[in-house]
Amino acid sequence: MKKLIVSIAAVAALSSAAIAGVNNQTGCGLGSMIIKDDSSAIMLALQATTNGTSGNQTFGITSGTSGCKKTKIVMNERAEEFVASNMDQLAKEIAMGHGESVDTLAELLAVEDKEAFASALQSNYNSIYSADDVKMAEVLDTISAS
Amino acid sequence: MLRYIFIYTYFISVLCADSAADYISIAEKKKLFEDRYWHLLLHIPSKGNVSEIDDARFFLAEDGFENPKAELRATIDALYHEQSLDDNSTACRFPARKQWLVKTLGLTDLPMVECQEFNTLIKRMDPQSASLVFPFAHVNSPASMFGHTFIRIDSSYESKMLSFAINYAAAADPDKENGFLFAIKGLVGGYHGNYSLLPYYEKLKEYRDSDQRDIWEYDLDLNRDEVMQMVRHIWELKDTYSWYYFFDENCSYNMLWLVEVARESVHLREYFTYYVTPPETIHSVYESGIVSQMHYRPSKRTTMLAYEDMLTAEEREESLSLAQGDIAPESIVNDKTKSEQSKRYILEAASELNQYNYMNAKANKEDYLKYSRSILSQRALLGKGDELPISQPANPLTGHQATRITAQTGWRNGTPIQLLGWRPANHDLLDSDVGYLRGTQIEFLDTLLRYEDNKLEIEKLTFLSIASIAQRTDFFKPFSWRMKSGWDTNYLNDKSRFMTSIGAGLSWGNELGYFYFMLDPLFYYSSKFDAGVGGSMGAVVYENKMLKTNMEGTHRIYDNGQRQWLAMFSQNIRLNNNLALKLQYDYVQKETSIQNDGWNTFKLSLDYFF
Repeated sequence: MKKLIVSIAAVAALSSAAIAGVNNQTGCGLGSMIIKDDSSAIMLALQATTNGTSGNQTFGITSGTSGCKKTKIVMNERAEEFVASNMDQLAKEIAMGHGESVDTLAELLAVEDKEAFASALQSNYNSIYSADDVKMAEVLDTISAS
Repeated sequence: MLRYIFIYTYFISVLCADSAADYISIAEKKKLFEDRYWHLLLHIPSKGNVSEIDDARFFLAEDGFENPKAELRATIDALYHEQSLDDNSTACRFPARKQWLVKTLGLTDLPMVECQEFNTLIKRMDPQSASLVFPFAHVNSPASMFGHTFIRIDSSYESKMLSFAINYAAAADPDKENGFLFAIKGLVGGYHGNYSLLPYYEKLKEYRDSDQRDIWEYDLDLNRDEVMQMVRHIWELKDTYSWYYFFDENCSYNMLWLVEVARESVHLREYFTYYVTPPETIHSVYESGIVSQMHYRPSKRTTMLAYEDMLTAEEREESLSLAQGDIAPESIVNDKTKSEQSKRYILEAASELNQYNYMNAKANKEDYLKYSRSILSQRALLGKGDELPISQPANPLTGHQATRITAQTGWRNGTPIQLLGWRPANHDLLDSDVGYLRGTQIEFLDTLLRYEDNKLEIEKLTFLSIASIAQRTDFFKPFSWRMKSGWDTNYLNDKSRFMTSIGAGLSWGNELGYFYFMLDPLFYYSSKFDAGVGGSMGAVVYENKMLKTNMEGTHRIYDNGQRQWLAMFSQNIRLNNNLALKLQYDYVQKETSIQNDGWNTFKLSLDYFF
């Protein structure tokens, strides 16, 4: 009964809602984040009853780099995955010269001096991000070469 | 001689006896099938014997889902009589059960198995410690106030970004399904609930960046063995499903099982009787004493608002123009009138805004990438600079709890009235905002009964009310909206009537408070139907953390030609987390045939939350 009552209440609340789509993009370059248009706000309210945000939640220990070009220098897989998944955040933090993602990358690459690492990446921003459509492999190759 | 042969054969028969049968009989003598831990492993709630896991694959015995004794037998038996010795073996599929049985019964001579998949997982996850993660409410979506919780398994890495998130959610695909149906199915158990495992950075992208929700992390005081046992149990649940129910068997509730499996002495589920809201699970976990540290992660939105605070109005304009490619970032860097730090903040804010526009489909990818690189390459020239100061909001733990009872006393037009109220969930605009997102309201079944002149009447019975009074800033331009459905006494006559309203408006504010304008179309229904529209102006002032003042004036015009004024004033005094005193004045204009002057109500209420 309890569930039924509240369901009806929710119907009343949400009946004006439209159907919206969330455009989920994946990739190895910059700009591969979830894009939401205005109607997604309504969707978010609806999603509150399932706590689900994307339909296909997996039980995966890797975020995957399967579609990405490989790095020239043999790298650890974790670093590749991390960079592929955090391209935009990393670009920003590298430009700022500090941040959690930069520190994480330093740890993955076993760099001792995180401060110096962040500062070196900042000075090399233009060579790391040499084009708008730079990909994970190029970013990591430039970082390990510098 | 014969006697020796007899003894010899007896001895042999014992040696070769089926260990499984022996251990089953020991286990049954010890009544392990009644053991709390066995029930935890099978997800059997405190009452009864029926598991909450609805998937037959989770059970080895035919009637395992309702017979913990049969399941115990079947598990011991299967561990000794493995059909295969690889990932498909019982030991590999149920490592937590195996671990507990080995420990409790001292099982020996179990077949050697090779759990390749599980070992790969453990090697990658490197489980060391665990945290409970609570993404806070999403602005403009008060329903998200109920939040979400998931568990994070931390590794030896210092960076928590490399941890893994264990999440329980309804397996629904919002892209494929009607949004309306989607919400309903979530409520009534129309979806399978599944566990998923993802790198924590993916969750950060989802909640912190995309949903713009602040995140609270509560480190759990669990040791490595306990965390390992939790991971083993998660592995057992990996491919199984349970029906998902928004109110009780939801994401947060299922996280409680995991914590109890990690440490049996912790009792969390007993804390709840009816429904489980994520903020309440945080309270329960905190009260059980296993929270060691708490951390706050600002959302993208919070970060952008912090930049707004650091910038002047002119600088904010520059950031907005940069994000749209209207001015060149070089012009900021070359501006000699600006301090180095202002330049950094302007460019950083511009980069955030650019990304925000893109993520909200207000800019295309090509422009986003182009502006991003030009802004950031200029920012990279300016060195490290200061860290953006972000003030940490009150911990959700310091907020009031979900259920409210209220006792009120006062006068209505000189006549004493007494009121008693009960609200199962959750928060309204008059309640203290400490630990809540300002300007949000969500109420279920708010009930207020009035005792006056020896009569008991319904003063108010709100089915559901939601409000999102979101302030507009230079960077964010949200609309405010609110809806309400239920009985109230605000109509022109003196009876309570059923009403529904849905309205929208605008709000502005600063740290001291906010004001708003709302336009609310509404209708009343009892024997006849009356439609109308109300225009409201209101303000909320925060004197300090303890005091909060609300006021609102409304003018309504009905389709039957009548007009009506309403006014409300409320002074909230927060005595502690869960106790508040409220002084209220309400004015409701009534038909002159009923009351010349309308209803003037003064009252004092004592609100208690639990």
